[in-house]
Amino acid sequence: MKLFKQVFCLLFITLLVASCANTSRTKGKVYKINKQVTVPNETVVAIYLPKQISEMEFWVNAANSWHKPGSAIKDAVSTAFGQYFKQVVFFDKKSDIKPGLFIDLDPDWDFKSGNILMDIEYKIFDGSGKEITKGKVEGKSGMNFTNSDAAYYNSAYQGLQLLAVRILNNNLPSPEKFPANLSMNQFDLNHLVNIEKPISSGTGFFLNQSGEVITANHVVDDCFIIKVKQDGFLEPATISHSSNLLDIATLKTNAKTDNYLKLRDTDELELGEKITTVSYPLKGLLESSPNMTFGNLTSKKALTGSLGLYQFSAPIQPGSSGGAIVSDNSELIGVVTSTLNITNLAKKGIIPQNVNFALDVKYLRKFLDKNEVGYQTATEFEAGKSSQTALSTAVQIACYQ
Amino acid sequence: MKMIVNLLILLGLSIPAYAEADKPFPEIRYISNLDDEASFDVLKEHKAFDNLSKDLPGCPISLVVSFETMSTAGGAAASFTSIMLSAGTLGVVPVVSNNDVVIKYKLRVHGNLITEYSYVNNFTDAQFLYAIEHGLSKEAKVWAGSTVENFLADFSKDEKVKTLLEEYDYYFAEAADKS
Repeated sequence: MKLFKQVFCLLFITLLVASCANTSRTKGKVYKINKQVTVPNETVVAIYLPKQISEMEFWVNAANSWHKPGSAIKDAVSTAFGQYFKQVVFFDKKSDIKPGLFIDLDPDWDFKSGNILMDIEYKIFDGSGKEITKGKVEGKSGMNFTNSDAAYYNSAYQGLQLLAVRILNNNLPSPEKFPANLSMNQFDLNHLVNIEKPISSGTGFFLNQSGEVITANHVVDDCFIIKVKQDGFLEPATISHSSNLLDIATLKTNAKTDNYLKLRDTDELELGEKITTVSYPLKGLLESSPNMTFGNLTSKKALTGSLGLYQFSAPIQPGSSGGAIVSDNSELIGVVTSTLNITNLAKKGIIPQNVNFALDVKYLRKFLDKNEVGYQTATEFEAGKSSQTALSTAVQIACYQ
Repeated sequence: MKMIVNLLILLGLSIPAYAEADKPFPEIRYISNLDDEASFDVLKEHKAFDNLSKDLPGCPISLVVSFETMSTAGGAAASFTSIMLSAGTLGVVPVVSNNDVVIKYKLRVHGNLITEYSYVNNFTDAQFLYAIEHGLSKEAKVWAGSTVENFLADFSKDEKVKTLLEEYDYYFAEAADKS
């Protein structure tokens, strides 16, 4: 009986501790720091974390809870580095703060046997933008699915604390050794992204001779760097105006062009009218070629509750968003925004075909007028040239983080 | 003088935090893991949400209302202890749990978060081992429904919501009036 009580108590305490361990944030380990380096260190550190990571959150049905790895990792970065460096800032490409060290982080994680396995690739640049070193750190934590914050935080914190200590011990930073020469808004952003591999791509088209490009907002709103491919060359681009509600954006480029689309001069759309669209499917950027498809304006309305959209039948695929809908008379009459998600319908045995949606040119016109973006209206019809017009004005958009 | 001050205080307390909107908001798609009685039905009682619906598959504006339960530090330990006691007494002693219930309201446009609000309350429940019900207790559901008033007050003075509604009116008010 006495043995039973002892075993029971031991089991109770073990289970209690185990169930608590993965729901609270770690305070980390105590590392030895080289005596030659001052802690907290005076070197200003700027840390870049891709937006798709830092803002990541998703609902887990099985756990009935929100998982927010983004905010957990951000907190881990702040705490891990904040205990060793006096000033730690997140990279802001508009900021004029001059750091002594730039750190590019690329976290990735996997779930295995109830644990989160986090690995963080990093690159470190000095205050002039020269790469000093690169490598990888890892972390691991048990996962409590109903209270996941601690797991994401702890697994990131382990690796990040080790990285901070590694920088201190290996590089012996100081403001004198790493002078702050470049502000964040002067730093070459191409160093912070994988320029060979965009995280996503889409389609756009030239709107005017100044080289302004129209595309879907969701193609570019999360991009750290945007590039437009024209004549085989990549041109940098920036968002000049955007509407989340309409899912539309204009990009400014340095390109000058005589090939641009003109808007239909009325708001009238004819049911059944023939349309052409050109898009760039989601492939490696250097190997891509445009896809041209044909179809009809199949309905002047889209899904229930949609705003400003109509339905068309020209086949599209991932990467087509932002492409122009060109009439048979070579007028711009819409912008490709989305396609019907058939997953749920397929479960019911319904597989609709070519149900795609575009923003009506009427609302594009209002958007351009509101933002004072220059465009032309088609006054002369170029029948039979819609394919050529659509092709010559289309560009591929590459998004980098 | 004291009476005048007290009267003014009483008047101030009686003014509601949320003033009913003159016109309803545009169509908003409602998504939630809460029972209708605890959320959707309560929202629909307000004119502002006349156009709130679960059946708007194409609507770019969505209101996501979710509940989560989070165990508190002491609550987890107490819960485990009571489970052991309950098991030891073959279910005679009820299982006691203490959790924070978090209700979140997230307004999204094309999946992008525009604004969000969170309301938290703490609940202690006692259930028999053989009759444990999952989900929110009756008391928690009543409280969840009461958060609608707080949400409406926060929502109505949120600048981001005002900006969104102004943009909606610029593009679509004319079409909405015609329909």
